Amino acid sequence: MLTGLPFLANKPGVKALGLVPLAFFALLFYWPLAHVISLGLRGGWLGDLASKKSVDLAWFTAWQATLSMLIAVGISFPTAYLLYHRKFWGQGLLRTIVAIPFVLPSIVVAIGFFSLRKSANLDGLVGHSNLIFIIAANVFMNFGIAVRIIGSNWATLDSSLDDAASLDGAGPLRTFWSISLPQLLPAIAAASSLIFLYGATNFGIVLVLGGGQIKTIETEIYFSATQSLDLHRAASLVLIQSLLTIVSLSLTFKLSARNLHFFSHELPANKSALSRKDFSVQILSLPVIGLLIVAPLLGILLHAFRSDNGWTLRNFQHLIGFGARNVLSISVLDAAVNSCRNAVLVLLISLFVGLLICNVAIKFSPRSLSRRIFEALFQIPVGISTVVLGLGYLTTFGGGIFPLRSSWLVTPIAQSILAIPLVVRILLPALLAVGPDLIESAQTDRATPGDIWWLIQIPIVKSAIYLAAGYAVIISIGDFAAANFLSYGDQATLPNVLFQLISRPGAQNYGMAMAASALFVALTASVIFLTERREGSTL
Amino acid sequence: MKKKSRQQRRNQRTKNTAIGLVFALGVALVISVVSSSGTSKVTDVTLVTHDSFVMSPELIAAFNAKSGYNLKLIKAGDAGSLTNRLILTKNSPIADAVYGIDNTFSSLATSAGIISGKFQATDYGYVCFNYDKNWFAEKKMSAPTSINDLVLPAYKNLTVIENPKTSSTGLSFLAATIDKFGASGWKPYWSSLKSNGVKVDDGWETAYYTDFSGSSGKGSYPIVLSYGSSPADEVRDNGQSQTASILDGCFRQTEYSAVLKNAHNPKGAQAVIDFLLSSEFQNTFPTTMYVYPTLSGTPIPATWSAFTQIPTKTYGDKLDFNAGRKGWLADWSAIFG
Repeated sequence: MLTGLPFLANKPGVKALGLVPLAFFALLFYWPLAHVISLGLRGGWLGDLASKKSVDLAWFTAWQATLSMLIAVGISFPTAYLLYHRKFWGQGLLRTIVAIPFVLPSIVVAIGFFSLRKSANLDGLVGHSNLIFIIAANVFMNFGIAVRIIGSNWATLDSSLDDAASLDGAGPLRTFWSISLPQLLPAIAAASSLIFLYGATNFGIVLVLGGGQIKTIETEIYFSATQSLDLHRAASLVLIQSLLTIVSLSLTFKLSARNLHFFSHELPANKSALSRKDFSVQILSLPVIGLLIVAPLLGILLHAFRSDNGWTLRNFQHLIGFGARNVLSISVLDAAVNSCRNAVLVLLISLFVGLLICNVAIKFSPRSLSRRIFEALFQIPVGISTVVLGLGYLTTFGGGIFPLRSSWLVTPIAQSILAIPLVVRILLPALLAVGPDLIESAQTDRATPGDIWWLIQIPIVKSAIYLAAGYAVIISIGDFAAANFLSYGDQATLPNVLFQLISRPGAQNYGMAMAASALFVALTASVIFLTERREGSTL
Repeated sequence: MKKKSRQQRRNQRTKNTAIGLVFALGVALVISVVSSSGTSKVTDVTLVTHDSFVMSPELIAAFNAKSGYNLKLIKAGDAGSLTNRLILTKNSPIADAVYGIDNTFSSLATSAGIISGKFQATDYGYVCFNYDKNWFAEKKMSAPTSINDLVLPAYKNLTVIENPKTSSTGLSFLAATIDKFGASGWKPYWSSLKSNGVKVDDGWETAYYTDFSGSSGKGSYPIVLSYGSSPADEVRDNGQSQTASILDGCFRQTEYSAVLKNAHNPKGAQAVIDFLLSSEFQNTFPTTMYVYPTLSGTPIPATWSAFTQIPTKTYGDKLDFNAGRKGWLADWSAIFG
């Protein structure tokens, strides 16, 4: 039996290649993580954790994540049904629209809801309106994930079953309740835990929309480190945050192990067209898409062309400058150049390291403990929040033997650590799917392992590589938390600069933030639309 | 078989190129990390400041021409954020020189060991409350005249201040209240401020330009913690200032510049500081940053004498910030959460 590439299994040289990514992660992930945790364990961490303030923070963080999760998942069913269980003209466009928010940088989402709050003029109700807008922004970002995960599993359900049920006189709600819902439960659980994870780590959104009054563990870690200079408190909060994220992540992995596809797969084509019976579903879905997704996106686009005196292009012209009263150290344009440069580097590093990891992982036999440990070592970063990583880098690489922080490379390297787990999760299944017979027949033709790699495996997983590259770029461009700790002055990234603009006063700064956000929305929308066209899938 | 081996060779070549490229990338990464810790050119000099610092392109060009250096500016938030950021990065500092740490934060900077040599007093000003005269006229209310008034029901939800943890004006005011109301009186005063609906912003820029009704942001708070000299910047077409200062509870704030410890270019840093202290630059403090220059004999704009008054008594500047700050901020946080 062929397991992975057994003809290589007895060659220790290939597994030894695995030492390269292991060393990379040991140096650039486990060392800073261990350092920041040991910092937390020194001093009175137990007292810190048990204090009412920490408990309240953890409670609030979990509570707002749970609420966002319940709402996002709860309202996603009609849309998941429409977009994946039925077919109709314009479906592709709607799927694109629903997918945009998830791919947008969180800082852009935060700015979008900031402007909504501003135009709704709810500032009087400070506390409550902040919370409402944080939850709304969370739901906005995660609705697409729920629709995608639940929908793509709904698509695999046989629709003849519910057709039969409705012939028997069961109403749509009844059909949903007793036929579809039970089959969808694993997908719902997986989507929920993933959304909870995102909700518990939504640093940018809480920082911008919380106005310093609403705090989650993430923002409190940031404030403790950068404002109170209390690294011990920050590090002990790291312990709670990591517990929270690791639990929800392992839940996600556990729940999604059964045939749930997050990333890319073929959708069956046997879906039936919309019928009159679906009218009630449309009523439930289209307004949600309109109000929740389209309105905030349109809001960003419109605000970008507004000033106090009416319509204008000036906001875009200002992007080459430094903002009102020169609030920026570099122009938005220069920051965009930095972001693109970082993204290219993140793409190269994460694909290289990611492919190396996959190539070694498939040499292990599939169910072996060593394989699972090897893979897990590279998935743990997903469960560690970016704020924690940023703090780890700041405290570990600030000087000493490896003064990485003073180099501009620190940000792209930290972002690569964020991107690699996702790259591996996209590439590994694709590589494993390369049939053993193909490899076997190549072997009989005396192809070298290298040939098999370059001639057979790589071409087959080409589209997975493109997808992984796309995600690496999205992670790099969108990263706000790591860059906020690590990028200074002329190395500021686009999200850094956007945050400075939105948190500093002045109509000009506000207009610039809106203009840059609008460019982000337009760019994201067109990229998703194109990939959707090409691949038939986005997430 | 022959065909295959040709293809094999070609693939071998592609593979070698790819591996070579990746290897080169790796080497380049390592080299740049190791070398970039000391890379910036000797002619570059970086000045890190708080967000309210203004230096015109002409002045930057004048400095570059005069000194032969190439000046880069970094803004790092309000004075508190600036100091904290420098402390967090002190082993390999983000700049060579710093401007904008004031007498409320200077002891923290000194004890954290981020400064090489001494702080140079660069400018000063008075942290006082301002109010929007038009707002009070429209409401036919009398404006507050002392900081005691701010806790009265009549002035509920009217005041915006800055966070003493991040903002030097915020900490200045906290110090002034500790001095004025004493060890037993300042906490009750702050509790009353809180229950009277005072808004706390992270920095002066947001409080003044967004939330204050008497400035460009046309916000909804007619009383703001700002500077005694701010009214000179709010003179309207009728020749009158829209705002005035409350001359009670003011703090005399001095802003410093200094060379950072472990600076890549300490000589350049000193040149920057010398320039900030020269009459060429000192002239710009009143007009662009609304503070008083420390260099005696620097002309003060005429509008200042008409629209700013100097408080006869100031509070808090004599406090021991190094000993007290941590406790004050902890007590303050306990009140404000």
